[in-house]
Amino acid sequence: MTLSAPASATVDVAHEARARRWSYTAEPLALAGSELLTGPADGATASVGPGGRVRVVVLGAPDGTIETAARRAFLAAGADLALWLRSNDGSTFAERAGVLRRARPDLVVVLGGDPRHADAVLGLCESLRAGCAEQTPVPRAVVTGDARTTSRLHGALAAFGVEVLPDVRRVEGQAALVGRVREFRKGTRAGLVLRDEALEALARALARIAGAPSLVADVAGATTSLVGATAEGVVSAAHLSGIGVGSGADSVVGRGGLDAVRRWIPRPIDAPGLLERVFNRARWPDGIAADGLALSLEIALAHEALAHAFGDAAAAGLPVAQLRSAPVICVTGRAADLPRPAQSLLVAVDAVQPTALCSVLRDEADALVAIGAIAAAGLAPRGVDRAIGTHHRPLALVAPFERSAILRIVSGGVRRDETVERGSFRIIAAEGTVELVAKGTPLRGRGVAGPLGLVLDARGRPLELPLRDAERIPALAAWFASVGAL
Amino acid sequence: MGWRYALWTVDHPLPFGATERVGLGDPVHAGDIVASGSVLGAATSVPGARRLGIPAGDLAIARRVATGAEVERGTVLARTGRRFARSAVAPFDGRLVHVTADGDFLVAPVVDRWAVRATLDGQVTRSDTSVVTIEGTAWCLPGLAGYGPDAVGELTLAVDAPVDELAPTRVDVRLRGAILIGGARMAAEAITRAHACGAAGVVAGAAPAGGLRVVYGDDVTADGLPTRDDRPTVLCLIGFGTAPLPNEIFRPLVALAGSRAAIHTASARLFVFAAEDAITPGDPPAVLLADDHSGVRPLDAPAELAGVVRFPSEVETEALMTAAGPVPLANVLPFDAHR
Repeated sequence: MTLSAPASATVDVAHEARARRWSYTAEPLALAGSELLTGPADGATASVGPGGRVRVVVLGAPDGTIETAARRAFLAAGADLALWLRSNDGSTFAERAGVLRRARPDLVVVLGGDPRHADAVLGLCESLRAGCAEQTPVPRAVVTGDARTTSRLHGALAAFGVEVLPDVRRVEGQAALVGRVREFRKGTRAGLVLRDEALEALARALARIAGAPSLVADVAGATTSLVGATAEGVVSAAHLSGIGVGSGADSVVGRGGLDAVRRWIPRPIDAPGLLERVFNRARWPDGIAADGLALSLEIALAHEALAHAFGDAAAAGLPVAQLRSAPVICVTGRAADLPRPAQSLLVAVDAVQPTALCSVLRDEADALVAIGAIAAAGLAPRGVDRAIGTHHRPLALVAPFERSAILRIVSGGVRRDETVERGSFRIIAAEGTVELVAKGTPLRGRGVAGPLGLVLDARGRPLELPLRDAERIPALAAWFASVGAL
Repeated sequence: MGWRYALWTVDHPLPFGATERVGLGDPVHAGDIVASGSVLGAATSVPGARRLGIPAGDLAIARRVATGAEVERGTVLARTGRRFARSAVAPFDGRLVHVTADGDFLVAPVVDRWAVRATLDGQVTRSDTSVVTIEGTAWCLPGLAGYGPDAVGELTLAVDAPVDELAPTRVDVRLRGAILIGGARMAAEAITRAHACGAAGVVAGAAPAGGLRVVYGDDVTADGLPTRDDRPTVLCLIGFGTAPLPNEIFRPLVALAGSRAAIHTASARLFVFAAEDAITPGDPPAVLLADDHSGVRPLDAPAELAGVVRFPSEVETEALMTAAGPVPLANVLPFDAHR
């Protein structure tokens, strides 16, 4: 997408009810200043937002390869999957028609697959026809698969304005499906840049600047994203719709259970009381955590939302190990808006669980997201990397260890040795470029530490939390305290 | 906005298998059956166009039974020819549920029946197999989230003050068919007791989220859970946990007690069928999210801007100074704010 590039303009980064308006000059790109808008925002050159809510229903035969490929595409497209019907689910024709009617889809994706699946998928399409043909507005149907299968489905789907895309198992099929779903989300809003697109442009730019892979971990009110990019510009993205720390908070609890959120809170709280807070937050757009417990809940929700994103990414076959080993991790959204930088750092370290030496940075006042949006929309022909460099402030360098080690650290021309004990988690002071060599582990390299210094994380991977409150809460509190997040 | 007397529109989505429904323009009252249909078992495919030797597009000419019609075993679904007739017949008693694009008939046995009732007095403005829409005039109080099936009954006061919690001891079988007005909170025990005693529904400022999970299961969310099965009907007006009702909301509820009312859970609205001059509602005050998010309360006393304040969570933001201290401005919303 390329919009006209004005010399001086504004870009709005939408929150749940408010928006942050950044003004910038485009030639070369430089952010000038920002203000928080409390009402509906109009008049900006571009706006960054989640787009419209598009309820997607998927119909397909039970084929693992097709499903994995489709999952990857839906994750990349930020699709809100309302229902996934498989031909072998054991339900009757009327039951399928009933659930499809209740789902009220906006977009139906039919995974046609091979000719051997045609009969099964045709049955699902007939259920769709019976259940949703009279829906207003009528949902649109997108069919992916080989030509013979898709042509068999045309009759059953005629009422839905059927559109045929290449097989989703192929790269071009995935790209086409992602593009189609994103077009639906954008609707007719001129100048809208999807938050996903802004984050992907940001991840690409960070990787280009670092000359190494980068990871952007974004948690907003109702969306959660993980975007990995290589220095060559290859992007792996998981955008979860409806999951977040705001209006998506109850969905986080719904997916993982209340205890999955509660386990990240470093203080005792009863489950019913926690659920009350989650529900109230979910129905209060841009609510602010004024008290410590509410803030702990927001941090816990951010942890868990990112954990879901990693889980979904792994299920869709995305290279999760590569994402975790990115040398640059950038935290954006509400997770970057926590009052203490150490709290954002802790979300990055505990939720991403980096497996290699990495610099963690956090966005401030949505500046990096705004630059990503300007880059994605093609509003600034040059100066994107420089603008990111201006707002690129590492918080800390994180060194993960699987076991005990003796670490040699060179920082500011001073060399010193540190002993890292297995299970420990602490910060040592370091600034600027830090060079590390660890005896006993393969960890070595250099990176940039920020104001929080060097984090030595020897808790192992995957990070395991004690099950019992009596053990878990003190352990969590100690981790929070050790980085200054409590 | 709070209470408003106006012309409202309510959609009643229909389950699959509708067989009867009201006609366009028909007058209906809340509680009337507007559509009924069958719950269907496993469908059997009966070859149609192929068996008759005609193109699928021509099947309409040969059909003898409309989609949705009840059929008996041996009923001719479609037939061609005279002397050398070819026909498709129903294999068992049931309904013709669907005709595929390839021209096959799907016949399914009837295993149960369902009915959808109106939640508004008015006229039918849309009626098809997927939805019946009714437009009518009533007093309406929009809520935050509705749970359970739609309900119709007599509005009945079950608390003494807007800050009271609905006590289970106030609920007994004499309240059968009533829509109970709770106060600031309705706990799971009161909700289930009301349902067991035959009360049509419960309306209050808030319900504990944990209690909603007890009643409706772990799938329940803050967006509500409209259902069709036999479960309690709950309408949360302001929030979750505890939420005292503002006087501007509670007093009209008291004045309207005894009137016929309906809860439409999908849109979380309470309709009360009373004369336009039955109440004179005022504008409700803004509502305020508790600092720890445990409840919502009305902002009863005047408050003024306090500039940027640093809160115990260390968040620094624009604040409003209330009698109880500063609160983040973002945590204060108009009563009718979209949320």
